[in-house]
Amino acid sequence: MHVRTGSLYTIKTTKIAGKFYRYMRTKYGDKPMAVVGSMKCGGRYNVAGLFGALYLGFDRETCETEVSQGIAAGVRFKNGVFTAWEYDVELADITIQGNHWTASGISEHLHKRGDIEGLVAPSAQHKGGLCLDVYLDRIRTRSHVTPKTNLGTWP
Amino acid sequence: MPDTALNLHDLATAPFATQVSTLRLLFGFNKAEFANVLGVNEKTIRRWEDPNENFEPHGSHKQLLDALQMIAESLGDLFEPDMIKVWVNRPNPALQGERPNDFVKKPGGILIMAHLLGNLGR
Repeated sequence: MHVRTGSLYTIKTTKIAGKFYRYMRTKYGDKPMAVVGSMKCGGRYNVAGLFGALYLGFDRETCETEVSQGIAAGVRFKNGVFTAWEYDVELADITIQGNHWTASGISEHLHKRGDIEGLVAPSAQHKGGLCLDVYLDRIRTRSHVTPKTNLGTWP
Repeated sequence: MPDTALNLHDLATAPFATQVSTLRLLFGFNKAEFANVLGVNEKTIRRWEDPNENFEPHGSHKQLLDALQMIAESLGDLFEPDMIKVWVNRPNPALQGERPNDFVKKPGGILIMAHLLGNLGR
């Protein structure tokens, strides 16, 4: 698939605000703003070692499907292995109906632009679900991502 | 089949020989199969698993064993031992539909699995 990366530098941004969710492993659950895993291992929309991204779901169901239906293959988790967080978010965004395999490449350019704080993308696992992927190092003063409520453990 | 008594939580602090045998049994490999996965000969696996030997791998072998250890620790975090058995033998959508105990034999398979499991919920 040919990607015209030049066009990524002219995509217009729009605002996004609301409540978003994240499921973290409980042993890291006291650091809701940490992006250590994505920085170290990379992710769908970030390149390992280059920049980290905070991956949030638009709803809890999307988060639950994301963690359980990928590499976990639907195998039953230990009780309480994840901790759910609710975030209060306000920042600019773009939406990409992306190809999974080129996603991190696209995101590298969007991050490089410098003026984009994150992007909205379809959930890879939850049909119809949406994810907000935030570049924490690009958040400007008028924006914020604030962990609001620890919703407890899951499952 | 993997041993349900495998203690994956304390693996990092276990003696090297215990680490190697635990990682091998996690995927249900005999020594010859595990040697093939790591690109060493069976004799090397026997030496690594001998508690009387004082030997540690270097280079690419160390990298693969470190990645296997990351896989083991993640599995120990996420699943009960009986569910680890299920995971190891279940076709996995994130691994091109292959079972982890098959995918681990592919070039780069160990590193891909370590990457995916290490990033889950972190």
